[in-house]
Amino acid sequence: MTVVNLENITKVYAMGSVEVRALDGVSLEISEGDYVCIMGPSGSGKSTLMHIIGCLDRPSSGRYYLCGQDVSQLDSTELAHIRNRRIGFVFQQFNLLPRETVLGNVEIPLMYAGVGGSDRRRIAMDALARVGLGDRMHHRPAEISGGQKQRAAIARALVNNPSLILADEPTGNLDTRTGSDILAILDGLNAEGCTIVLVSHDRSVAERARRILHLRDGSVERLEHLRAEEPAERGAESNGHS
Amino acid sequence: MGIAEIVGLALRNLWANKLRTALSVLGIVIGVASVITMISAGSSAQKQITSDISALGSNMIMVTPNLKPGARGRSYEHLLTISLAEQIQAAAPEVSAVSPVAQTEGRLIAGSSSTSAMITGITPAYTRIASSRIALGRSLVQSEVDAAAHSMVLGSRVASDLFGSEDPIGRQVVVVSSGRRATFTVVGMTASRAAVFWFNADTQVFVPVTTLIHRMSPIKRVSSYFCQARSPETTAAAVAQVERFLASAAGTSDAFNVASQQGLVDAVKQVTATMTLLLGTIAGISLVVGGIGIMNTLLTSVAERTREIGVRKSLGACNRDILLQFLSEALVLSMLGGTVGMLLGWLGGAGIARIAGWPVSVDLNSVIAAVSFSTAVGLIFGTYPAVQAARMDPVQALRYE
Ligand SMILES: Nc1ncnc2c1ncn2[C@@H]1O[C@H](COP(=O)(O)OP(=O)(O)OP(=O)(O)O)[C@@H](O)[C@H]1O
Ligand SMILES: [Mg+2]
Repeated sequence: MTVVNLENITKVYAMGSVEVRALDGVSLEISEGDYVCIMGPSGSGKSTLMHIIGCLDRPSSGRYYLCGQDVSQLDSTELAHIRNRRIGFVFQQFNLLPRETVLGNVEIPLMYAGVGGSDRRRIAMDALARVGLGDRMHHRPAEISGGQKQRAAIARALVNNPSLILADEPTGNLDTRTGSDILAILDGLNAEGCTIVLVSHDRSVAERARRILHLRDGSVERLEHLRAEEPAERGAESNGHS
Repeated sequence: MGIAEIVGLALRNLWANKLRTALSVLGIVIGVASVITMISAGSSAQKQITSDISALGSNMIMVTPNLKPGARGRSYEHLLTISLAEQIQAAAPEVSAVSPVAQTEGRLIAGSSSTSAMITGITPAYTRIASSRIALGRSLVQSEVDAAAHSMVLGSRVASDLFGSEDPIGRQVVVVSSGRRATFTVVGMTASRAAVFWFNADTQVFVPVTTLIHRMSPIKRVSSYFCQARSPETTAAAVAQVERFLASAAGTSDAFNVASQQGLVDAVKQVTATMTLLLGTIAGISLVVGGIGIMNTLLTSVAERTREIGVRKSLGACNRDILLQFLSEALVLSMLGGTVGMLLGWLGGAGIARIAGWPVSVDLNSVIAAVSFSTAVGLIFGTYPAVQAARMDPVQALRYE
C-alpha cells in the first residue's frame, strides 16, 4: 500500500519581489514499511519537503496523496486531524514542552485525539516503555539528557500509531553514540513495520535506510536504492538481506 | 478536547506564571472591587437618606417662601402670617393639618449653663406632622399658642447642655435673641432623633409660634409651613391643592416652594442614581483598563509560546484547540479577577457603610453586573490574542527561535 504519493510538488516562497523555489517539481512514492532518507546540502528543501509530507504545510502546486487521500484539498482542521492520527514528528530540537513532564508530553497527541483519563496514561506509558524510558516519565524535559529527550519525542510520535514517522535530523543535536542509539530505535520501529522518513546530512546514517532521496536546489537529484524493497507488512522480516 | 481539559491546561499555565497572573488580574480585581464598592456605598447612602427623610415626619409637605433678594421676593413677605396656615388648610381638603413654623437663632441660659439653639415657633399640629416624640413632660397645647404663653419644649441635646442629666421639666430658661430677653418654663423634652441634612431636632427648642412672632422675633414673619397630607396616596393631590391656593394668594406660582417628603425622596433617589451611574462608569472604565492588562499578558504569552503552539499543531491541535486554550486562559484570568474583586468590593461596600453608619446594602445587581462585565471583558480582550495564536502558521511557529 502506498503511504505517500507526491506528484510534481513545488513550494515557492515570495520574498518581496524575489521568488524562492524551495521545492521544484518533486515526485516521490513511499510505500508502507519503507525507510527513506532525504539527503542534500543545507537549503536544498529537505525540511520543506518534510513539512509538506507531514501536512504542516501545503505545496504551492502539485498533488499529494496520503494513504490514497488527496491532502491538497483539505482545510486546516482536517490537516490537523491527519497530523494527529497519521503522522508522528521527531525534530532535531526535540520540541518537548518544558512545563509538561515526559509523560505529559507523550500524552499530548492522545489528548488531541480525544483519548481520556486512564487509557491515555496507559498508552503513553506503553510508548515510553517501548523506547526504554519507562523510568523517567515523571521528569521534566530539563531533567533528562538529550538522548532521553529524543526517546521521549519518539514515544510521542508513536503514541497514536501513525502511518508515517517523520524525523528531521533527529541526531543533529546528539553525540554519535547517543545518536546511534536513537537510530537503532528507529531501525527497530521500521523492522516492526513503521514507515519512516528521515533527514540526515550523514551518509552513514542515511545508509540505514532502504532508499536515499538526494535533493539539490529543491529538485530530486537522484533516488538511490540501498536494499531491495521488501514491504514489511507482516512485521519484522528484514533479517538476512544486505 | 473536553472543556475540563482545556480549563485544566489554562490553570496549569497560569499557575506556572504566578506573579504575572496576579499582576494581570489586578486590573480586573480593582475594577470589579470598585464597581461593587461604589454602587454598594451609593445604595447604602440612599437607603440611609431615604429612611432619614421618612423619619422627618409623616406625609409631610413643606411650604417655604422663595425669598430671593430683590423687590419681587419682598412683596410676598406680607403673606407669611400665622393665619395663612389656616387658609391653606381650608383651601386644601387633602391636607389634614398645617403648622406655621417660625425660626430664629438664640442663646439659652439656665442658671450657670448656657447654649445656643434654634428657637422654633410651632403649633400643636407640628408634633404630629413632624413625627416628633416627647420623652419627658408634654408637648405644647393650643391654649398656649392662643395665649402666646412662655412655655418651651427642649430638644434632647439642648436639654442635656443646659441641665445635664437633671430633670428639666418646670425649670426656667432665659432666651436672648435679637437683643430681646424673655423667660420660658420648660414643659417637655423631645426624644433624640437623627439629623437629616440641616434639620436637627435635637438642637432646637420649641415654643408657641405666637410667642415667637409677637414677643421675640424682630421680623414677625413665619419661616415656613409644615402640612400633612391625609395619606401617602393623596400627597400629590394635596401638593397640587396647596400650590394652587398659594399661587392665587400670591398672584404667581413661584412665590413658594411646595415639596413633599416623597418628592424629596424621589429627588435624593435621582441624585444618588446619577452619582451611582457616574461612579459605576468610572469603575467600568477601570475594568476596561483591566481588560487591556489581560490582553497584554496574553499577547506576551502567545509570543513566548509560539514554539509551543507550533509543536501542539504538529501533534494534531487544530486552530479551535489553540483558540480555546488561550481564550480559556483569558476567561480564567478575568473570572478570577472578578471573583476576588467581588469579595473585596463586598468588604469595601460593607466597610464604607459601617464607617458612615449607613445600613449595609451590597447591591446584588452590581455583583452580577461586575462579574458578568469582567467575564465579557476577558472574552473581548482575550479573543484577539487567542485568534492570533490559533491562526499561527505551524511551520513558522516551529521555526520560531
Ligand atoms: N518561510 C520562508 N520564507 C522564505 N524562504 C524560505 C522559508 N522557509 C524556507 N525557505 C527557503 O527554502 C529553502 C529550503 O529551506 P529548508 O529549510 O527546506 O532547507 P533544508 O534543506 O532543510 O536546510 P537545512 O539542512 O539547513 O535544514 C531555503 O533556501 C530557505 O531559505
Ligand atoms: Mg532543515
